[in-house]
Amino acid sequence: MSAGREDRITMVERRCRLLLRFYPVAYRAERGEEIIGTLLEATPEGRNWPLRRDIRGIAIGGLRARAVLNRRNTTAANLRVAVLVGIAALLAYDVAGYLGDLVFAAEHGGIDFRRTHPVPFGWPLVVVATLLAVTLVLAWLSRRRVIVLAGALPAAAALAVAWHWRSSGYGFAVTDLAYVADLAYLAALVALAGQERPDRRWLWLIGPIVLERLLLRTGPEAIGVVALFLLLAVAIVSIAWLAIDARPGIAIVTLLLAIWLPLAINNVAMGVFSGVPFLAICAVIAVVAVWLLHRQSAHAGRPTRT
Amino acid sequence: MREPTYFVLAALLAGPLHGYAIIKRAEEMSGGRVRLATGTLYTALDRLTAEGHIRLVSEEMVAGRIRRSYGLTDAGSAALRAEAQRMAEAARLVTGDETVPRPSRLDRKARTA
Repeated sequence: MSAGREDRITMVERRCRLLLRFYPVAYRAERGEEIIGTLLEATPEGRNWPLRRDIRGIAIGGLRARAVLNRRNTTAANLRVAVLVGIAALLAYDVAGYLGDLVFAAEHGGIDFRRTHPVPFGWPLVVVATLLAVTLVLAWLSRRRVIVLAGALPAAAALAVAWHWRSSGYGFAVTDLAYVADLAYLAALVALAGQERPDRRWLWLIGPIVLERLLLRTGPEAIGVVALFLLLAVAIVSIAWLAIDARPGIAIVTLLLAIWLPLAINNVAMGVFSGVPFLAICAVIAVVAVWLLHRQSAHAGRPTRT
Repeated sequence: MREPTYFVLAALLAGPLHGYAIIKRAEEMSGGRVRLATGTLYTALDRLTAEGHIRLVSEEMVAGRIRRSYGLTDAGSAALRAEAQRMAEAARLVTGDETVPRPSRLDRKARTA
């Protein structure tokens, strides 16, 4: 075989491998080499890319194979994972916010760890951020609920202490609601832990959310805009992905509802209804996403496709 | 049964074939009309395997890559015959060609299975 032909095959093979990424990891491990062999045979001599119909077929086939993955689990199991990821993303978002405050305080006048109240920034919030982060790691790594509970109880206690100091003269109603909400989300994290555990691939969703929060708190204004677009991009991808896998969409909607609900309740109490349409849109997306997830999940009597 | 699925099964009538050979055979049998894309073929193979219409017959290493050959199962043959019969009956309604054989009781049973 000539060197030029070998180079072409290597180039086509590299592109075939790139296309194969449409398929889920487990599928690639099982059938990847077989599909690449067929793709290479189907690519005419002299071409550097597979045929257009093969590119389209691989894209559609890969997305279908991803959609089939959910059919291994019931609707309830898939929903638990999605909501767990949404709540984990929310708590990670809060931790990133506290870390952002810490950096901001360090840059503007320093951190006074002797302050008992958390405004502008004292040790209670450092403790809250640390314990929330520990609880999140435990929830991510452990299947045992009691271990997650062991992390969540000190975090809840720290939140309650920070809330007490904050509400005694330094806080606002919305802040109080946020603390109560955080306690509720910690309880939900414990309730959902110990069953299906999300794997590390979900970090693609949580990573940008944490990064957005950190950039928004610590970066210059221009980076803040980029950060918001990052979050928007994650939300758009998750919603566009609904037909393939509704779980990321449910996780994002859980996150958005959890962030906006305390604010909206507070605003409505003050007679401001501007946040209500956004909540209604999130609720509609949530209903559609759960319906799609139900269709994508395993049902008795329907054969599981591989 | 969709046309690509029909031709995937029909391609295996003469014996087991590997992926690319199925694509070529289906194209020949359909007079060039059915050109299966690689992704479409493997989606069909997955579904037909899960439904018990085809099975993995052999695996071999070719140029350092695994090559799998697939063959029809009895259920796959029966489903293919039933589909062919259904299409023949549908064609006779239009063409009135009585040379097309009417379905036997056995074929009718296979179709409803």
